[in-house]
Amino acid sequence: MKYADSRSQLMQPFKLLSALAVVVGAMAVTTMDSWINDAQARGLSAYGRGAYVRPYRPIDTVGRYQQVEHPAAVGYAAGQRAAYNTAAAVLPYLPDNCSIEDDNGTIYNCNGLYYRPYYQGTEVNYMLVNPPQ
Amino acid sequence: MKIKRRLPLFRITYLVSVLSVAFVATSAQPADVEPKADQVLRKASDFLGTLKQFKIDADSTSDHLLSTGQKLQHAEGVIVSVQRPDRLRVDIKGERRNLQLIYDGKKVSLLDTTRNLYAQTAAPATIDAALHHAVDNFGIRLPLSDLLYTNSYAVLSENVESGFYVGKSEVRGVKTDHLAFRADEVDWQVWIEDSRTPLPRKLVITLKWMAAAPQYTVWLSWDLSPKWSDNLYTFVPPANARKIDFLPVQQNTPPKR
Repeated sequence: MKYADSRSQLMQPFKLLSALAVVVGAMAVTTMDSWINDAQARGLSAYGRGAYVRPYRPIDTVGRYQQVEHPAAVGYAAGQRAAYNTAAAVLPYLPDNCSIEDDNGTIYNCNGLYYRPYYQGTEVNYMLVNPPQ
Repeated sequence: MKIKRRLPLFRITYLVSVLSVAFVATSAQPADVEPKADQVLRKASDFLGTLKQFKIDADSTSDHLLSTGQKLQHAEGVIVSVQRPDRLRVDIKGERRNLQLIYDGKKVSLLDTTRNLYAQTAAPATIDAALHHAVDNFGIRLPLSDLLYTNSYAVLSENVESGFYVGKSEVRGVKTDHLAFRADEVDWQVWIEDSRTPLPRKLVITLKWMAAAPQYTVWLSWDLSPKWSDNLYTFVPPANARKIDFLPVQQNTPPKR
């Protein structure tokens, strides 16, 4: 009994800390999630009733095709800021509140994450890139 | 003939030409295809191959599945202009995308007219080679591209496992022969005009291994003596259009700046 009590007292600060960590983590994830989901909602589902399922191959050709890779939310390079490891590497649409970062107007600063549009096949996607030097 | 590994361009072109020659040389009628179906498809392909210029005005619908299982349909209009051997233009206006692609014998330019973003890449000297180049290196697929190769029979029948002649049918007032084929990844049907100009009038592709088997349907009108405007095959970026890059196929991570 005594032993258990002291242990629980000992654990108290850790519990508090871990609870805090969970809350902070959840907030971060929620912000990022709503950010990505919103982009997906506009890019992948016009109706907000679920995302489009990506077909296993193109639907509009019988013969030759090359399936373009559309990696989902994968981390960028190791050693990047933590945000880069949780942000979506590829977005079909830019999130809100992005500002143009360079003269050509092809790099966007989205809350400190930098995106650049590329053609993947015939689709334009915005890909996470290194911050401009 | 999907090329999975990245090869130097000249090797791809070389491989493609060798394979196409080998394919044409050895292509007997694929297994389990009813001779009449094969014969009608071959006739249409041969006819398409002889055309020096043509314009296709097509209406299509494609099914898109939502993660909930609900199926949506999106339509688009496609105008394909072909001047063999080295001019191609594709204009797509649809519910999901608006694109303009121009191949002028030297480069391929692709413009997303909604976002006003375009990209360009150097391309080989013929439509066939340019299509292969675009698919192999950049994953650029165009609707109706099956019909644009000079040997569309080879492209269409490449993975066919079986096929049969369904019967006579009328598509938007045109008498056609209806053919149905099964391939490894898709089932597809084509309606070919029953006349001295055996043109595909309708095409249906079914993704049979996907839940709810989404389909692509396209109706085609043909103009075999089109009048081109002078600058049809000249790409001019619209005002304020911004130039971006094509991401090469199999480059999965974003490139460094």
